[in-house]
Amino acid sequence: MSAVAEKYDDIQAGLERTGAAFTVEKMLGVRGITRAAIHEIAARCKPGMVEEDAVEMAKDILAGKGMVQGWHDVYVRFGTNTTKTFGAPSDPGIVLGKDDIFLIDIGPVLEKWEGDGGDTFMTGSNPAYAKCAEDARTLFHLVRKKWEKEKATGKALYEYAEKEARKMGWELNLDLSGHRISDFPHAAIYEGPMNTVDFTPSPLLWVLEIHIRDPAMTFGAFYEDMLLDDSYFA
Amino acid sequence: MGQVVAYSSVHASGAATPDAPCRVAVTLWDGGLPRAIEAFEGEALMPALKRAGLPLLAVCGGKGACGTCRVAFPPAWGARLAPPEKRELRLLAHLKAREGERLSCRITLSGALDGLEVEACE
Repeated sequence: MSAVAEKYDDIQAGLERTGAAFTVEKMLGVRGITRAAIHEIAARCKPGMVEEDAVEMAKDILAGKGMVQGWHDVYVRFGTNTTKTFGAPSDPGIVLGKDDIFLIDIGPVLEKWEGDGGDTFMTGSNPAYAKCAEDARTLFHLVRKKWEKEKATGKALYEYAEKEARKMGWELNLDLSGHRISDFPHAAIYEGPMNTVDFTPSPLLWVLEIHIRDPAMTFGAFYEDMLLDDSYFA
Repeated sequence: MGQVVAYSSVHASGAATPDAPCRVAVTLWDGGLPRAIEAFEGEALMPALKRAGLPLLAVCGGKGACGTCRVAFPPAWGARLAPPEKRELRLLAHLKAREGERLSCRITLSGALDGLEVEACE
C-alpha cells in the first residue's frame, strides 16, 4: 500500500471510530424506532395545527418511546418553514394548511444509541409539493446507490447530489450534507459533514441527508436515513 | 461552593458602553476552586462556560435536547433562576439529575443573575 493510501486509511479509521456501546443490532434497532416515530408524528399533523404545537406533540411521542434525549433538536416544519436550514429557527405561528407540505427531522437518543431520520409529507395533493417530496426520496436513493455500487467518496456523493438536484429543478441545501452516527455522542468522534471526506463512508456509521428547495425558496423537502445497502430498504 | 473570591463586575460598575452587552459577574467552581468567567447579559450560560474552557459537549448546540451541558447551582442561586420548562424537567428526570442541576443552555443571563455561582458537574 502506498504512503498516500495508508494516510487516507488512517483518516478514515479515525473519523469512523465508535464508542464502547456501539453494536450493529442496537443501531439498527434505534433506526427502526426512529423511522416509525417519524410516521407516527406525521400522522398526527393535521391541517389547522400550529407548528409549535406539532413540535411539542413530536417530543411527547418520542418521550413515550423512551427517547427523551436527542443529539439534536426536534424539527417539524410547516409550509414555508420547510426551506429553513438545520438549526435555524422557524418563523413563528405557521399553521398547517389543507393543501400543504411539512417535514420532520429528528435525532433521538435511545439509551446509549443515536437515531436520525427525516421525511416530508403533504396534507393535500399539490403537484409541486408532491414532486418535491418524492424527488427528495428519489435523490436520497440515487445517491445511496452511487455509494453502494461505485464506492464513491463522501465528497463525490454530494457533488453528484447537487448536480442531480439541479436536473430535477431544485437547489440542494449543502448545509445538510451527511454526518456520522454512532453510540451517543458521535460528536465526540467527528462532528463534521460527510461531503468533505475523501473516502468511501462505511455502512451503518453515516447518515445521508437530502434537503432540496425550490429556487424561489417558498418550500422544500427533506429525506434522511442511515447509509445502508439496498437490502435495508426493501 | 463557598464564599466567592473577589472579581470585577462591569455590570455593577456600569463600565460597559451603552452599545456593548453588559457583563454579568459569574463565578465558576471547578475542581473545588472558584474563578470569575466572562459572561454577558442576554446570552445563555452554556457558551460563557465553554469560552471559559469548561469541557461541556453541548452536542445539540444549546437547544436543550442533549443534556450534555449540565451544571449545578447552590440552593440560593437555584431558587433565583427561572424555573425549568417541561422539556428540561423531563430531560433532567430522564438523566437522573441531582437536586440543583440544570441545563446551562437553558439559563439566560441577566442583570438579576449578577454574582451567579455555578459548579461544574462531574
